[in-house]
Amino acid sequence: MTAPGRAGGPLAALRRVTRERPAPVIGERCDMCATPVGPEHGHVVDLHSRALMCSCRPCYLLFTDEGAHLHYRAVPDRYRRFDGVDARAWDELEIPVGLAFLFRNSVQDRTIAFYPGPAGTTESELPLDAWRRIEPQLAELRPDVEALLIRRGECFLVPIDACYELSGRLRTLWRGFDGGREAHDAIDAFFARVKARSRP
Amino acid sequence: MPELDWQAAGDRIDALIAASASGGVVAHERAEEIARLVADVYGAGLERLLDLLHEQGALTDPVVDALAADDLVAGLLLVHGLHPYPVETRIGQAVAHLGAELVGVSPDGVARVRIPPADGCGTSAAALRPAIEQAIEAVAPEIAAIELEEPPRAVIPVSSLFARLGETSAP
Repeated sequence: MTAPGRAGGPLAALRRVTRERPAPVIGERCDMCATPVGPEHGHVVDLHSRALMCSCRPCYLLFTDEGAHLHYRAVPDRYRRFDGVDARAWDELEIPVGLAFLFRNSVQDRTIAFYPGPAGTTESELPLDAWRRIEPQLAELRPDVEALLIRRGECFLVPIDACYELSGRLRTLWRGFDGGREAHDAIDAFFARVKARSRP
Repeated sequence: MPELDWQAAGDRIDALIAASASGGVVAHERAEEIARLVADVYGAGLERLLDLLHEQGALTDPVVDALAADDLVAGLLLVHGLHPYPVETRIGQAVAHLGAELVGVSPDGVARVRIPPADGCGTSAAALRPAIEQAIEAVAPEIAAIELEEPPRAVIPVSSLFARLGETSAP
């Protein structure tokens, strides 16, 4: 390979980019190394921007060490079912919509609740007393990459990318004040899938 | 608008594309794509321009020669494969400056160049190759490979060994 610039004259860069015409990449790619990835692929979380990045298997495996101080963390593929939150605890959680997910932000060292809605997700601090009731379940969570998904009578541990997926879908389906029929159908379908993948 | 230092601009394009790689592979690909698309638009414009001039009968030999003689115009025409001279002419002129001669260009883009016979100080194909490659790359970027033809090494005639013998033995 020749050095850029002078070797082929000052217009070498233009000649190179017009001559090399890479085939357009169709489908999703790894956000780290740009390798094409299939529809089923892992994700890593950027701990500072909270962005979820699609990743190929090799890049994913770089960030699976839970103890390491890394900028990114791989999202594990773990689903668990917990006993549902009882009615009183549910009311104390003061969840404005029928559904919430909670996760631990290790950078800010706090637990945050998110409610999906028409504008994506709304963030909220948990009322302190209420979240003591679900402390055992919260303790199971791996910080930043797993979330507690709760609605009345149901409580699951899910990978955080599943929460992003649900939020994204709800945002496109949300109609009117309470979300409408399609949004509720999507939520039901999502919970059915989560239930099928979960173990106690 | 101040006059553009187009040679510096060409190098700067290269440097910026290379620097965009720090944003990741996708950022680098996007930077290349921007440069490619802009170049494509201007290339299409240049082609249209030449077509229009040709339709109007304005592309006379002196005009074509003047276009080819301008480094910037000729360089841009080469980027877009629009140079008016055929590839053999361009290479022939470029290697002639180095004392070499173009034998021919194969359909698959291989240029055969005959280099001058080695002189006393041992100029060989290996020494000339970089200069010839650079000269051809500058005027014929479409060339895929270059083959150098070296003339057979001249054998020193025996008679020349004795040429001075008579002088020294003479009283």
